[in-house]
Amino acid sequence: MSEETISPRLDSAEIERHRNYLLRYASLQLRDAGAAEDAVQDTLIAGLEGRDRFAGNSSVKTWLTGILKHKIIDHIRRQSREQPLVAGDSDASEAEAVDALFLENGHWRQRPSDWGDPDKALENKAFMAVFEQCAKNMPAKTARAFMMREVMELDTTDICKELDVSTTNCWVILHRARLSLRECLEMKWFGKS
Amino acid sequence: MSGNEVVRQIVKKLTCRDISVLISRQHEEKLTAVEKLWLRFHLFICTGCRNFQNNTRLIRAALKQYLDRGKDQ
Ligand SMILES: [Zn+2]
Repeated sequence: MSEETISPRLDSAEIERHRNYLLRYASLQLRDAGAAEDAVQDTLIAGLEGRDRFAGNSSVKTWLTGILKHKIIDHIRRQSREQPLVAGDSDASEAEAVDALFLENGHWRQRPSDWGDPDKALENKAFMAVFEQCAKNMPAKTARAFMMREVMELDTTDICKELDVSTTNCWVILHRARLSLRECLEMKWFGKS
Repeated sequence: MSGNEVVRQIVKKLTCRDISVLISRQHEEKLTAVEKLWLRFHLFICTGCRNFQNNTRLIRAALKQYLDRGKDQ
């Protein structure tokens, strides 16, 4: 009896099918097309080589995403050792950018507007293009934390550990990230319509 | 002073900036019962923060959709 009949092998097309999703995932987190490409390539190879271990109790996509997550974390760790993101100036200017959104008394300088029906924006290709642009324009360190939270769905404890910052600092960075992404969308999209 | 009155006094001192921090943190973890109360009181009277909360939800949904479908849907 061949092995095939016991557990049907995941075929390579089934693995390859998820390449684009994995690429978007890696690109959002790594913001470097080459590095994202490498991480995905490594993931697909690992997936092919390890397909016998695929248990089938999660979807192929979830399984591959789990592998990719490790590749991404490895890359980020390697990178932080080799060329750490320096806080310094950009950190101060980002803090200033948040200050600029509020008055002295803590009120909104410009009140966030009503963005209306979310589905209407989400169904619009032009909106998604603006969204991509705004996400890509986020400052590096802020984006790294934000994508760890929103794309990789790590909890703050793990994010703080990876970024080597305190929990409070982590919240500050994520707060800043949402404010700045919101500001960009307000300016480039919702404020215009 | 009743419990509600105490909450109201604290809420008066919380600014939109403070509340925006809570709204953001809500995407990370559950707020404490007291924080939830502060938030609810403030949102009741503040359109800006209510919009901010909805905006951050849309941002989360947009990111998920972008991930799943890309910008060309
Ligand atoms: Zn407010």
